[in-house]
Amino acid sequence: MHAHAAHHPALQHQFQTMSQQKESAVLGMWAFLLTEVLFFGGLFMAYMLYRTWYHDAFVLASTSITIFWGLLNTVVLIGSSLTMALAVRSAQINQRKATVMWLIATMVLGTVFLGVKVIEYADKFEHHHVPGPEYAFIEPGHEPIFELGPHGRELLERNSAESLNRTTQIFFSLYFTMTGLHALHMIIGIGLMCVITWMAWKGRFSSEYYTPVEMSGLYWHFVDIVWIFLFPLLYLIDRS
Amino acid sequence: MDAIRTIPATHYLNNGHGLASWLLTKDHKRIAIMYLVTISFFFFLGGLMAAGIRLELATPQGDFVAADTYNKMFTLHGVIMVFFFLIPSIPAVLGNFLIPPMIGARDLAFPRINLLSYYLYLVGGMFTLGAMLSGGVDTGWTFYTPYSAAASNTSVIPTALGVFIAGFSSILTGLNFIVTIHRMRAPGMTWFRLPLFVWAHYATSLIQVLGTPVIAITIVMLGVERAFGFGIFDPARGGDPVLFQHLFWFYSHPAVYIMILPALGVMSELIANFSKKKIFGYSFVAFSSLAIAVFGFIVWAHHMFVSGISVYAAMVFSFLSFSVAIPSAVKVFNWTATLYKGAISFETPMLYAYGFMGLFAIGGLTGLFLATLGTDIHMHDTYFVVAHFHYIMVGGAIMGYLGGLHFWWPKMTGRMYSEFLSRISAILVFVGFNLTFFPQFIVGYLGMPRRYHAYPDEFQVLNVLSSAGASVLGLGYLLPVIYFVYSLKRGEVAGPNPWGASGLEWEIPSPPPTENFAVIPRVTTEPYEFTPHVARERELV
Amino acid sequence: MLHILGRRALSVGRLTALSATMQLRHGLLAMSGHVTSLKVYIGIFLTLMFLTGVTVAVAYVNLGQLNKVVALGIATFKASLVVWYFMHVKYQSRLTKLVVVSGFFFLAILLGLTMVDYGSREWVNPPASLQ
Repeated sequence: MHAHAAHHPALQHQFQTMSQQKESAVLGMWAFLLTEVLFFGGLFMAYMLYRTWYHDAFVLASTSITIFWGLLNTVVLIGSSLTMALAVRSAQINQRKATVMWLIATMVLGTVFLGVKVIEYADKFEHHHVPGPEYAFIEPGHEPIFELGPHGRELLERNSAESLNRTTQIFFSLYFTMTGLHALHMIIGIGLMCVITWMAWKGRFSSEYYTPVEMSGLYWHFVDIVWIFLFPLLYLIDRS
Repeated sequence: MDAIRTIPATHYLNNGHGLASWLLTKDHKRIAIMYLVTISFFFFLGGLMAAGIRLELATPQGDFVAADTYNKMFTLHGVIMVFFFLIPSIPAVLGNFLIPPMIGARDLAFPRINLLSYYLYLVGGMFTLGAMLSGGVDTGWTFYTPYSAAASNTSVIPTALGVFIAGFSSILTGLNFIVTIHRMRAPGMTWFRLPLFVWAHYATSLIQVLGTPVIAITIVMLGVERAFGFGIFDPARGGDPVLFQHLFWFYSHPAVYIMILPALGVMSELIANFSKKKIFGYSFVAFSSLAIAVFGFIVWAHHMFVSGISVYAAMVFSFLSFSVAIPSAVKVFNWTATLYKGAISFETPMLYAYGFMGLFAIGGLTGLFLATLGTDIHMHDTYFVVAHFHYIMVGGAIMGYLGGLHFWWPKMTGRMYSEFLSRISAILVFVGFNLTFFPQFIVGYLGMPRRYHAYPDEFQVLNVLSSAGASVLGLGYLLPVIYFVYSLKRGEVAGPNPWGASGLEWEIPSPPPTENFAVIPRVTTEPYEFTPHVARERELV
Repeated sequence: MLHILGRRALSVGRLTALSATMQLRHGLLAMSGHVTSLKVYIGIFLTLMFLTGVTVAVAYVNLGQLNKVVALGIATFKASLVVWYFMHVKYQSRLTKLVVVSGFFFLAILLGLTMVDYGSREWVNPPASLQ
C-alpha cells in the first residue's frame, strides 16, 4: 500500500507521511477554532449593541457581580493554560509521566473554575438575577442588594426601576449565555482531556506523535482566550 | 473497445457487504452515496410541500388547506430545501465523492469526521422531521423574532435544533475540504492545476466554516429566549428583533453562495469537457469563486431594507451588493468564451449546463433589481423575490447538481443511464422550471405578496401557469429516479472515461477502487488539456 | 477506438510512481515541532498575570471612554500572547497565521458592518455633506 517499508502505527492510510498527517490536524484544528471565533462572535455582537444602548443598566448589572470570583477564575484559567502548554511540551520531549501529571493539573484547575462558576450561578439564582419570570433586579422603594459603584446612585436616580429591570435582564441574558457556553466548552475540554490523559498514560504518545495532546491544547487555550475577553466585558464595566 | 469498457473486479461498491459496511464506512465515496440517498429523500419531501403550495395557489380562494397549514407547508418547504437539500447537495454528494480523486488523494483528510458529519446531518434531519410530525412549524424558514421566540405556538425549538445540528455537519464538511485541498494534493498538483470544481468547493468551504457558526449562535440565542424567557431579541424585553435579522442574514446570505458556488464549479467542468477546450481565463474563474465567497459576507443587509435599518446603512449595503455581480459575471463571460470555437456536444450534462447559464443569468440580473434600494421597496416580500431566488437556487443550484450527477454518474456507478430519457428530463426541467417561476416575476411585480394562501382573482391566470409548470418540473425530477435506478443493473458499462473528459478522476476505473489510486499519481499537465486528437475524434463519431 | 488508446497513453504518463519530489515535500516539514523553553512559558504566564492585575486596577481609575478601550486593548494583547506562544503560532506556517488573522477579519466584518446600521440609525437629518 505504501512506499514506506515501515511506517508509524499512528499513520492513517490516507496520508503519505507523519508530517503530512500532523500538518493536516493542525490546520483542521485552527479551521475549527475559526468557527469558534465566529460562534462567540455573534454573542459579542449582541453584547456590543446592548452595552451601547443600555449603558446605565450594564454598569449597574456589572457592579452587582463580585469581581473577586471573576479574578480568581481568570488566574485559575490562565494557570491551566500554562499547565496545558507544559503538558504539550512534556509530550514533545518524551516525558510520559510529566505529560500525564500536567494534564491532570489542567483538569483540576478546569474543575476549580467550574466550581467557582457554580458558586456564582447559585448566588444569582438566590438574588433573582437569572432572567425569566422570577427576575428582579431593583425593587421600587428598596435599596439594591449589592454595593453600588461610584456612579451607582446617579444611575439609579435617572432610570425608572421598571426600565432597569427590563434592560439589566438583557445583561444577565448575555451573561448566562456567554458564561454558560464558555463553561460548556470547558466541560467538553475536560472530557477530551480524560481520554488524552488515559492515552498518554498508556504510552501512545512520543516526540514523533503527540498530535492529540497538541490539539486538545489548542482547544483549551482558545477557551482561555474567550474568558480573557469575557472577564473585563462582564465584570469590569465602569467600576471607577 | 469492450476490453477497456469493463467494470473492475473489486471496487468501492463491492468492497465489503452488509449494512454495517455502509453505516460505519470511512470511505468518502460510500459516505457520498449515503448522502445521495438521504438528500434525495429530503428533496422529495420538500418537493411534496412545494406541490401542496402550488395546489393551494391554483385557485384564488384558500380552498385546499387552511391558512395555518399553508404556513407550515411553506416553512417546511423552505427549511427542508435550504438546510437539508441545497446546502449539503453538491458538496456532500459530488464534492465528497470527487475531491479526493480530483486532487490525487486516497480519501479526505479526516474520514471519521466525514462520517460524523453525515450522522450530524441525519440527526438534524430527524429533529426537523420530528417537528414536522409533532404539528409542524409556521415561522417561515427565516425564524424571524419576535414571532418565533414569543408568539408562535408550533415546534420552533425542535426545528431550530435540527438546523443547528445540521449546521455542524456543514461546518465539518467544509473544514474537511479545506484541509484536504491544502494538504492532500498529489505531487505536481499545484493550486493552478486544480480543477475549477475544487476551487469552487474551497470557496464554499470557507463560507461554511466562517458563516455557519453565526447562525448556530443565533439559534442558541433564539432558543434560550423561547425556552427560558431570556431577553435578547424580544422588543417587549428591550431587545432588538432587527439584531436577529442581522445575525441571521450574516450567515444566510452567504449560505446562498454555499448553494450556488459548487454549482458554478460543476459548470466549469461541464463546459470545458463538453466543448473540449481549456477553460477561458482559468485564474479569473478560480479567483472569482473566492471573490464571491468574500463579497458574500458584506452584503447581507439587502434582505433588510424595509426592516427598519438605517437608510445610510441600506445605501452602503445596496452599493456593496452590486459588487457580487462582478465575479458572477466574470464566470458567465468566461464560460461563453470557452464555448467559442469549442468542439461542443449536447449530451445530457451539457443540456443542464446550458439551462443553468440561462437561468443563472436571469436569476442574477433580477438580483440587481432587489439590490437597488428603490426597486426593492416595491418588490420586497412579493413573488418577484420568490422567483428571483428560485432562479438562483433551483435554476442554478439544482441544475448544477443534476448536471453534475449526470456527468459523474458513470464514474460513481460504472454504468451509463439512458441518454434519450435523460435528455427528455433535462428539457422537462428547463421548460417546467421557466413555466413555474417566470410568471411569478410578473405576479410579484404586480404586487402579489409571498406567504399567503389566498390572493385576488386577477392573479389567477399567472398562478395557474405557475402550478402547471410545477407539475412539469416535478415530472422532470421524477424521471431521473427511474432511469438512474434502472441503469444500476441494466445500464451500459461506462468504462473509466466515457466522455473523453480530462481530470484525474477519469483516469481511475469506474467505479473507483476503495483506495482511488493504487499509486499516488504525479501530475505533470495543466487542467483541461484535451489533445487535439481527442477533440477531432469527437467530430468523426 | 483510436481516441481511447490516445487517452490511455496520457494516463500512463500521469500515473507514475510516488516520486522523490513527494518525499522531499513532506520530509522538509519538521517532525516534532518547536519545543519552547520553560523560561518562555513561565515568562508568558507571569506577564498574563501581571496584565490581569493591570486590567482590574485600571477599571477603578476613571478614564471616561478610554476605560473600555484600555480593557479591550489589554485583553487583545493577552489573547495575542496566548495565541503566539501557548498555541505555537509563532512557529507555525504562514497559512496558520492567515487562518488566525482571517478569523478576526471576518469577526470585524460582522461587528463593524452591523454597527454601521446601529451607528447611523439616529441620523434623522442627513449630515450636510449628504443633503
